[in-house]
Amino acid sequence: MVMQLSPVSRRPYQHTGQGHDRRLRPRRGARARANLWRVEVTIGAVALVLVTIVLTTWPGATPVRPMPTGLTLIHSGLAIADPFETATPNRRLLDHYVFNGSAAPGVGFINATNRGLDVGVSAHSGWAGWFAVTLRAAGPDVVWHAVMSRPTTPVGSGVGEAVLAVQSASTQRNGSINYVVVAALSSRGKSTWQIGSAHGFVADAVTDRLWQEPLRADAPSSEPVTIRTDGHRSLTVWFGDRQVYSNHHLHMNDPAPFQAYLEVQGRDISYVSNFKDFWVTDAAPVTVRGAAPDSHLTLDTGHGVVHAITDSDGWAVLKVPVPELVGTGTLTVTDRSGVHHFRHLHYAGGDVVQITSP
Amino acid sequence: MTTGTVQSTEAGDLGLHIATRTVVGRCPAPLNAVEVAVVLETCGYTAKRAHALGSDNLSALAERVFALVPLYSSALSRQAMAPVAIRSRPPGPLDLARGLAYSSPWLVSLATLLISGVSFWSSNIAIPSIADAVTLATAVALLVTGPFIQAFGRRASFYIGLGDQGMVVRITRWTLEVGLVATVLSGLALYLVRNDVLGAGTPATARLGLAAAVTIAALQLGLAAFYVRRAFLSIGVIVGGGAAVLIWLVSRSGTYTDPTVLIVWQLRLVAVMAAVCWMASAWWLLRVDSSAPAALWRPSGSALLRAVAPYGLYGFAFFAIVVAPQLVSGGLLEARYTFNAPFAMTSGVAIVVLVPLLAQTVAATEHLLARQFPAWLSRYTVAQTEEFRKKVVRYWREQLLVLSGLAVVAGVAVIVAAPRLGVTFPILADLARHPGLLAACTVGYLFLGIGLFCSQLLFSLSAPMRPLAAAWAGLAALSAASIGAAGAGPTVSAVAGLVAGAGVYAAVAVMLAHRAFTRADLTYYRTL
Repeated sequence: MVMQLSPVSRRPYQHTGQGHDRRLRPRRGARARANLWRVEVTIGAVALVLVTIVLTTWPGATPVRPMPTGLTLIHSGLAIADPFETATPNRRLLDHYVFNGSAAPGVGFINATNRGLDVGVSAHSGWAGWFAVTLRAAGPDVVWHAVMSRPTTPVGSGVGEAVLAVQSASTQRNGSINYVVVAALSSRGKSTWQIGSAHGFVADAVTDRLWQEPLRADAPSSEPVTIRTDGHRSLTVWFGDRQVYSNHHLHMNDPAPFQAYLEVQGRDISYVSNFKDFWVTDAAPVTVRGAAPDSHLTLDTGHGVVHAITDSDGWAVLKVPVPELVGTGTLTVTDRSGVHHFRHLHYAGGDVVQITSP
Repeated sequence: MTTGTVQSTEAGDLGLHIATRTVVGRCPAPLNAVEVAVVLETCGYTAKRAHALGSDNLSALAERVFALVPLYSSALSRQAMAPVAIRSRPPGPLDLARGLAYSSPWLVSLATLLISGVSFWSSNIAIPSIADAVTLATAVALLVTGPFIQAFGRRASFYIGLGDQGMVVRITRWTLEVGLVATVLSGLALYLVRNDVLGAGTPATARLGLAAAVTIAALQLGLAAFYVRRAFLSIGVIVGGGAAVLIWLVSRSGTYTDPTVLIVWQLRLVAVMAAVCWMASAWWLLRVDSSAPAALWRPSGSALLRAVAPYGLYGFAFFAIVVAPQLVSGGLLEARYTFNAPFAMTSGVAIVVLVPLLAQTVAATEHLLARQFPAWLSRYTVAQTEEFRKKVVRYWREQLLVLSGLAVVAGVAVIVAAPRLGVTFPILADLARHPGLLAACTVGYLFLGIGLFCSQLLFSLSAPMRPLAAAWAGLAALSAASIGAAGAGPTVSAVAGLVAGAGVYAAVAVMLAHRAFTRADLTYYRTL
């Protein structure tokens, strides 16, 4: 065999000529360094996930609600809230709304000022509309509210319309534009408020008018509008504290959840709708926990006082009227130890509030 | 080798051992007899000298020398001396299927998009501000990571093969980790420009864009080690798992998916996938058996940079050809960016033609380097160069022909069939409204696939300067065509750039590849 004939008795190491190959000798600390690198990568990977979570944290759709001392908000029922009391750049609004409409580029505009959210269309011919639609959807068991206004001067020629619509969010999936709508219509020097239910596909929905005030020159230009609907059979609308429409036998086919459209429509004129105190909250009472059994609780909403008695578990259910489901009030707890006031309580329907100290 | 042979060539035995020591001195661990033959040839061994040593020709001599190599080689070298089967059958359907595995993350992503309407960072329900932020972030991630991934791919496999853990760590730090840092800095610069200087987008989407750039880059860089190790099953598990989570997320959102919630969870999912990839790479894929060898083998940083720079520059130009049309379609030449949905949709569909072309590229490249060249070199000597060259050129032409056939089939399938799929998949519903755009984008990506095919073949011959020249020529053509067509609007400008850029890239790459293959013997020696 070649091996046996080989003159080589032991392996030479061509690179060193010594009795061992330096390439085989691990460098001191090499393994530790490699493991250190692996630990570095692991820490970096965890940091990547944490940084991503921080960077992708989306701003809340509701403002922070500081609770009075002694109260803790256990659960918030408030889904969306925008008082529109301060000037806000559009780029901040776009974190929560999408602006769109049939108006040509440059015709539709939206401005959030300290007088509310202006949604308008500038001069054009024919019909043109523009809207801010909430990115967040809610419902069906929620209440929608906004103080909506049209310009105080009635429209002479053309038509102007301020619109608050609650539309099925399924538009995103199937293109159906089914919604309930409250609108302030102005034309030929007169104005009116209308309630309707609309159905359509992609565009040009047909509206069934459910309720309308008579056209008149002195119709109010502003109304606090509150809407509650399940999208199928039931629709109730309040103007302020006044319930103006309620029907539980409709056939609307608007599947929940819903999005709110703060909208303007104008024909042949420039027109602006204005919205303030916009909120969406659970259609549920405010629950207070932690009071002594049989305590007497009141919530002064500024529009009236709501009463409740705590049960044996210390729970009290404050049935706030629907149009006042979001507000700031004073909670008073009367028990054997005395009377405790919690002022400036920012409450909302569906909230669960815990009394932590009397 | 028998004892009889050795006895009959007793006189040549010493010569054989001298030849073996000569070979091992030049090449400590030759992989096979072909490599030995090449070294012998470069050392002046001829057929005549092979006869004198008792062998019929140089190949026979090389086989005898190869048998003696273990005597003169170190233990380390012997570890790498696994026998290499030399076969020369042409790449078949199995090779093509294996090539498809390279596109598996992309294919999973496309399938997810068709099924659920969303993919890892794209969807059909994104709002404009999110779409702007994410597409810009994707462009940044692709452009910045492209060079580093190319450089890593080229060098890491070398050090893994060498069993040098220290250099594997080093090359990972200087390519993948530096690539991630570069992306973070680029993403941060983009964030500052958009958010603080231009006031574009919304504050939340600006942060989202930064997160998107970092996570997308991290995932692409994290998958690089999987490609180097050909761990396609693992890629499938990670990407498929991510897709399953995404589909579950969308399905439980009901009739309405909040686009902000969706993108947040998409990016967090991508971050988790990237983290898993990086950790799997560090603890498993990039782990080599031996510890670090002596510093003798450690190249300087500048030498390393020189070695990988052409690949990095190529990577940048290639991804720029892919990405730039997207940016141009958004109004880059008008100093703005707005997500162009029709162009994004049509180009996103058209780019699917790259899947079969990429598979053919992988099959042809791996076959050429691992099987075809060794098989030829075992048959031909230096004296038979012309015959060898003819064989190589014939192979090159055949593969180009196969690629062209695949390109025609894929192109026709996309242009004709994709718009009809709009009936089944809502995300493709608008495709039928843009037949011209779809056809133009398809042609552009077919050119890109041809250029990629030639480039990869040239890379396999260790000839990076030619693909580099082709890619940069393509990028220059893209810029010129886009600017030239700017007056016709962003979409036309983008399409013109894509077709012209990819076309020039393909043409130059084909020309340079042809030249390289006509002198394949010279080119191949550089790989050894």
